[in-house]
Amino acid sequence: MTRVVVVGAGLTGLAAAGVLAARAATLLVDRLPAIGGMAGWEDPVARRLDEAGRAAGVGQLLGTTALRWQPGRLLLAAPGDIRWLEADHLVFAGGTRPATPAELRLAGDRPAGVVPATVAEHLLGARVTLGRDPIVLGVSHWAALVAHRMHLRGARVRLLGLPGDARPAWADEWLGTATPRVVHGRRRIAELEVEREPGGGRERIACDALVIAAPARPIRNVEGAVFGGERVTFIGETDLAATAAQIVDRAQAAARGITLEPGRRVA
Amino acid sequence: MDRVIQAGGTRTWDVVVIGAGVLGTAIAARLSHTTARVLVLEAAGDVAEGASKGNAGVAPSYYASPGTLEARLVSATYPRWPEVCRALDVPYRRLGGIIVALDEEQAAALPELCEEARGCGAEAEILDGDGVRRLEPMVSEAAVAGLWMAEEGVIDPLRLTAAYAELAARNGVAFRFDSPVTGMERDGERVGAVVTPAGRFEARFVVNASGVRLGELSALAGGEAIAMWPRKGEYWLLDREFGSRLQRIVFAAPSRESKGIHVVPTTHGNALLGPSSDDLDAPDDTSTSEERLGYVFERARRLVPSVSLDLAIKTFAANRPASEERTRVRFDAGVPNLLHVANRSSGVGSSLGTADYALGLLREAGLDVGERPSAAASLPAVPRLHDHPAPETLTSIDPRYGQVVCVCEQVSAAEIAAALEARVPARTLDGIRKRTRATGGRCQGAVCAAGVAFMCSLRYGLPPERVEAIDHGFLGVEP
Repeated sequence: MTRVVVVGAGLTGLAAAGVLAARAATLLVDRLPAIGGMAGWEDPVARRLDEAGRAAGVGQLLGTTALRWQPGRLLLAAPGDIRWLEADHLVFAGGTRPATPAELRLAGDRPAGVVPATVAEHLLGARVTLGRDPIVLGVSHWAALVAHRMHLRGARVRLLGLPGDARPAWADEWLGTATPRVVHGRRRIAELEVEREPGGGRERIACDALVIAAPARPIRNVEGAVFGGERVTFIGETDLAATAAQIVDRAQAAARGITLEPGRRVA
Repeated sequence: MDRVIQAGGTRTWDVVVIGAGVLGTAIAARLSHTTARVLVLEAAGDVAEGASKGNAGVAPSYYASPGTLEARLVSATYPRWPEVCRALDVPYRRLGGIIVALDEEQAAALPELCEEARGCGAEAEILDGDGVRRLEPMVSEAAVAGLWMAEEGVIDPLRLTAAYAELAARNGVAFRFDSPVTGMERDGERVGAVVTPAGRFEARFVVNASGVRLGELSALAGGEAIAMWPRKGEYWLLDREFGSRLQRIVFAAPSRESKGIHVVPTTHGNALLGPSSDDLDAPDDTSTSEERLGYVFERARRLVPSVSLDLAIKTFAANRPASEERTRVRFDAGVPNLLHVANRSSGVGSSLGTADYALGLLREAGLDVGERPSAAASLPAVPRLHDHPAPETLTSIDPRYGQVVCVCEQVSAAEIAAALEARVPARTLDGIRKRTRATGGRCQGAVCAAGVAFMCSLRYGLPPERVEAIDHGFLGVEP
């Protein structure tokens, strides 16, 4: 039987694995020791998909990082255990992350205080005060999560939208929408220079932290399958407005469309 | 607040080296093979905080006209890279480089460059446009000719600087970080002691390897008036997806003002585009600008049309120490025990030769030290998960190899722990990146920076907000 490894046990990976299990020996791998990904392990949709998948025969290897793909085998790492796993097809559903300063084309300084929301969330969880006057950039589930954690710590959330964003209820202060252009500040960020209209005038917003929460970019970190590859399928969702039902539908449709070739042994 | 590594009980140091960039640490490493008692003072909190961390990592075989000091130092350095990099566990690749002529005028300048390169003892050969594209198919169709130099290489300048420092420290050299030099006490015509906020350090000889601050420190010592200024270079770093397809270093044809914008594969398979070349007043300004980054990209695209900003993972800028004299390794004209060591742009590529040359000058001037054959000449290699031919065997060395912290660059907790536990250890997130590449990949730490910060926090017993992201730039603020 064809062996498929699905990397990523978020909603996308869970949904895809459930579909693939009807046609192939399917193993679901995730870096974290729990299913759910960004949705969280208690998410009811994730739990339903998890139960259905396991009933359909999906195997799970959690707390394991997929590192390297060579057509026919996948390098896996877990504490104390690094090994090659034979597999015929890799489905990568590794989720998304906020764009980097380079992807946002942010010029200027590279000071402390500019953090992706995924990191800000962990730091807030460790009771780090990100700044006295932070800005959250972009409307997304990451922004909402960071705002929630900031509120728990009694902080106000100043939110700067990207073009097209609308003010969400949880923003204490809405800075409107703009395209961020330049970071100013040597050791710590002091100002963010933005452009309100394309090619229009510039404005500087004072801040001592900038949490980048959008746009989303797909995570690509399995060597040999970074931008696709032989016997590799990417399933990703970079639409930050997608609902859980849409994510699941799209992942299931994508999984049904995957052409699986029969098993091939590694020499 | 200064961080001290083996200060020792010495009252008078044989040599105080100012600056822990690639030249200061190379000299310290060379001196560590002698009986000299050596102290390195560094204003920043880590090695490689100036030009040494912001360059393209080219290890040239030819860089300057034959007969110049710079050419001599480069020629004394590059043949040794394979052996030294193996011994010091520093990534190095001899890829060969091509100076690409995009028009007939540039092509007409190649024979002279070829003669110069050969005059320096480097292999060099002129190719036609097709010959250039045979060696590097990604070079533009517009290329009419090129100068192929088979011995050009790339090196990891961050790992190199850290390795020089680590070797020096293991051989007994003392380091003080966060120790800016605020004064130099004269003892007659000589410098008698170097002063920092943490104290004064008596010295028989002082090596001024402070990069762009060289002139400032010469003035503090009452030495020669030396004009140094920062020359800013801006770079794009592109993903391995692009860089791994690039097989050679692609150099622009040099103009009178500058060596030009190059497309350089890195030792880790990424590609660098740059540098621009702009003279500044302020040495601390390492900001990038939209305009200059745009210029760098456009210039790079003329050489290699397939470069794409969709694959950009980082931009950065750094300042090279510019002066009228491109390479200066000589004693001050008025202060006979003050040795100035500066190099505008071939600092990495001349570092081994510079260290030997500097030791020779120190000895001629009376530094009476012998060689110490028992000193270590190599460093224990830290196996790297990303590069290891048999990764499945690594957990038997250390189970933490299975704990992958930075997934983009495939850096394990074992490698980060090694960087945190080195003799000259990483102290900041940036310091960990320099030594391991963690947080330096395509997601730039979005997945792993928190984990790296927590490892740093545990190692130093600091609350996470007091962990530094960059030198003196903290992750958080006081609540």
